[in-house]
Amino acid sequence: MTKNVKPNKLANSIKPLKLSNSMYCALLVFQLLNLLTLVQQFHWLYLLFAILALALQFIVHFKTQGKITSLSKSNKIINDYPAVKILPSWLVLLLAISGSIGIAISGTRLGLLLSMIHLLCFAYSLKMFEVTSRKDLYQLVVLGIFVATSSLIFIQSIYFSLAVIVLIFSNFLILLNLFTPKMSLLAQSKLLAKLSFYAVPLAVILFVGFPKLSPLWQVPNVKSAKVGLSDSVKIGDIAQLALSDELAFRVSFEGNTPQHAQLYWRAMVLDDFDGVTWRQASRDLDQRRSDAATKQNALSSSTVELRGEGINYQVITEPSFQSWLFALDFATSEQSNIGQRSDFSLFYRSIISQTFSYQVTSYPQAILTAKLTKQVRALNLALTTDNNPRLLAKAQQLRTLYHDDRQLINQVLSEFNQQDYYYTLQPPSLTGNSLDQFYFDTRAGFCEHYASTFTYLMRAAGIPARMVVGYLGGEINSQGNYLSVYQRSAHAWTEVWLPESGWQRVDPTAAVDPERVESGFSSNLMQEYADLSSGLFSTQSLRAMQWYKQLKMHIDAIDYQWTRWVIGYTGEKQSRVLEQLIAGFTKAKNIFYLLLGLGGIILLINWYKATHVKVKNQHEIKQVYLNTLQLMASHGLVKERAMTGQQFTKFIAITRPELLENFAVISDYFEQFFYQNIDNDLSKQVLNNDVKKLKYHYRRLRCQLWLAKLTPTKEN
Amino acid sequence: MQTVVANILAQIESVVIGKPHQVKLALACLLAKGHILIEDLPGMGKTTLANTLALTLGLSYQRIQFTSDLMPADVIGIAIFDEIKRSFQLHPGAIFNQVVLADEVNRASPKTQSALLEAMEEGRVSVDGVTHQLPEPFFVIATQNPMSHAGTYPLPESQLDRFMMRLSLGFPSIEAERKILQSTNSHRDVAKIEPFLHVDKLQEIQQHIATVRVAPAIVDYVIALCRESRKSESQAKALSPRAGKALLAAAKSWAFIEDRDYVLPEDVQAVFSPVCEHRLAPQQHHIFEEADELSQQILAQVDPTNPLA
Repeated sequence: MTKNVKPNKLANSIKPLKLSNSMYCALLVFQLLNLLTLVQQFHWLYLLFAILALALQFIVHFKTQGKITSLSKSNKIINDYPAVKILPSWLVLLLAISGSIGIAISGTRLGLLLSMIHLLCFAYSLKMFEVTSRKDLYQLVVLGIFVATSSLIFIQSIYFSLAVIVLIFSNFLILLNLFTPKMSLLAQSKLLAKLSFYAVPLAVILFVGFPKLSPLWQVPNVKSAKVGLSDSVKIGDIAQLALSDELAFRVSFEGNTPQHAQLYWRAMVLDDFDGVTWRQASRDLDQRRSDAATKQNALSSSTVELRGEGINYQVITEPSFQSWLFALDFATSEQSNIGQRSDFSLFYRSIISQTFSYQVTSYPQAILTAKLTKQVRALNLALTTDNNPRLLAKAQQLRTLYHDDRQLINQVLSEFNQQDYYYTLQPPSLTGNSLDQFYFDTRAGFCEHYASTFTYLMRAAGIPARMVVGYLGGEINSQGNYLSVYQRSAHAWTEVWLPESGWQRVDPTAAVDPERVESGFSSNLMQEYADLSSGLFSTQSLRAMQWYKQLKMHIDAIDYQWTRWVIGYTGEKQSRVLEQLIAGFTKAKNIFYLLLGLGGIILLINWYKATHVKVKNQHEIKQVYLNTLQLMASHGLVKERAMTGQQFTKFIAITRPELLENFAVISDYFEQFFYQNIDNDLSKQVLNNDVKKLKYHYRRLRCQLWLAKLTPTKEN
Repeated sequence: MQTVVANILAQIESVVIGKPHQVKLALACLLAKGHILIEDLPGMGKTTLANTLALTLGLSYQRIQFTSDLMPADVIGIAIFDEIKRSFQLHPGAIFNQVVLADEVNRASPKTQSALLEAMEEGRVSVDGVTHQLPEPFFVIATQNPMSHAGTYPLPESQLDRFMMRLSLGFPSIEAERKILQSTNSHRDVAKIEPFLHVDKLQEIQQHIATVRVAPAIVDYVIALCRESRKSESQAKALSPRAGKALLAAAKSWAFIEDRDYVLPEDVQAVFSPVCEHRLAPQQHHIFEEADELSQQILAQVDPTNPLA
């Protein structure tokens, strides 16, 4: 058999590609896995096609496998076979053309990026039908890697990224197997791991140094089932949101983290109320300030008067598929892709479809809009008067009692505080004049109930007021010294305009449940929270455990660093890092000495290895041989003490000739190495390789012995 | 070189019928510059083997029949006064030959035996204070009858040690015996033997054997065998370092005959019994017993693949 191998290998380049069954299976499995990474993005038509194609391939190959195994039983030779021609080439061509046309037609709906990805995956699915030469195999593997990699455009969490990276490297197993078909899977995996490891430094250099081009494509505006704030708030929305454990964004402060009660993360200002829903006024949308949110702009603006020290922090927001950004009032940012509306909320000039990181400086003591224009004043006093009559009456009554705006506000807040109002995640459902019903009857609600009622009351009393939604607080991760803000921290509050002092934040929730503002969810609320979200696999009971908290914090910290340093490593950052690096290099002559020292250490290690390796390897070879003997003995093939290696080999040749393939390699090598070629000074590498080879045969032998044990012995 | 060896073996085997293993051992011993002691009953072909060996190797050859009245001077020679030269001249005895066949060596008196054995060890003899060098190469092939036979003087242990190997031929198989009986006068067969080698060639072979490689693992194996012999508490004697040296030399020679330039544990095993048995059990009383019991026991105790473990 061995004689036949060589000519075969030489002829491989000319003959059609022949692969073993396991190779075909691996190809199909990897195709499935690679496509799975993108499965969320696929159009259902392509999904259908891909499933059909894969299923067809699997069926055909399992059938051929059955045939081959039945053949090989009689021949005792396991053969590679060329790819089965499943579809005629004209049909493949037809499919390719019609598919491409289909993608082109739906391109406008899919967007450029998605249609390109569909085209790629479509080609990937079809290529599997014509793997006839080695070149095809290369193309298929590379296509697969491309497909798997492109999934990183859509999902960048560290776990997904790690999984995809592992998958990408695993794809190379196919090629590795093509060239080393006789190696065991374990040895191949090891080799692959080694090669991948070699690639890491290059990857790091490319990551740090390769110019980062901004994407040519527009990442599609997928209105996915993403949990988060939306651009309108109905009563009850935020209470719903508060049940979500999803991360909204993370913040790291340059200095000390401010008090919990100061962390009012503004997302957007809602100033249009129709009795049920709060929206951003469309007029205001038109008036989007195209101004950048720079400090320079703020200083020159007539509406803002900056006061006090600024707080610097970095926000990394998860993709929200919206454009608003989160910041403390009053926020400025030097980034050019961030704008500021006239209500002082920040926005991104595009859709946040990927993790986005931005630097903000906030001035909490700034006075905003000391003078209100008529137009804005009207907007923030607008009321639909046909609903909630009891509230309107209440406002009138308050107005007559209190002339001073501040007194009036305090009165309303103290009523919230002193009367039996409840702060709850499970407010009773409201109908009709919902605010009336809440204020006078049910008296139990979540933040948006209080905020909208309060805003309504203020407007009715003639004080310009608006609703603000965003997040309150956040959880400090002491591992990474940053703040995580989850969806459950979503909050709504009110801003009222007072003469001289401008827009002031008033949080009626603080009057009802001060704990919510001071430190987060109160214990009552936590209990409700736990009740609401308990299920079969309740994580809430787990949440109570300390170690779970710890673990979650650790994992979260890792994820944060990943997002901050890898995902957030944008072109801007890159140039900064490179500048610093280059400056560091030119400055320090120590680098030279460092390199010299390193080189010396490496030389020393090598010298030590070169001089000490032989003895070690000799032992290793002997050890492999002795291990082999032990292994054989454990399977009933005991070498008598006095038997020499050759005699035992002969014994095996007679009793278990099928084992000779692996055993003879080891024993012959042992004989040669220990008795014959004693003068040959084999190099370290050769010895290492030989040891590896022997170990490989050892494992094969072990496998063989185990299999022999498992399969019932045939009496011949 | 190997073809020469093969020819020699073939020639000897054509005369000494049915004993290829013993023939090979005997040849190995001579190529390793060792002396052989052949021990067997009378009429088993001891003398034939010795004769054939000497003749085939093309060496000068003399046979001494040891008897109880044989004197050392008969072996070594005697100094006689030469009147013309007016000095004592050595009249060399039978020992001044390259191959000396000492037939029935245990029949002679211990004094005569020791004269021979001293010559074997030293490679020279002293007569009347004058040292005479013996020819090169110098082999002694001694034969002896088993001890139980009447009128024998057993060789002392120290002298047995001088022999590299002790062989015994044993009874031939049916087939071999038939051939022996059918063949005509065996003396004439021996006379027909032509030398295959010249002295130079023999020495060349011996030098070549010295270059046969001995791996550290083989040395370990020999050491382990020697140490094993020292462990046993039976009547067996321990193997000395000289025994170990002889063992290695014989193994090298055996490896050469097997057409290899390195020694395998197999070679050591092949020569172990003939080289060591007479050192382990000098007094072998019953020739029909399992002849090499002790050496087999020691061999069975040592693992050649991992000797010193």
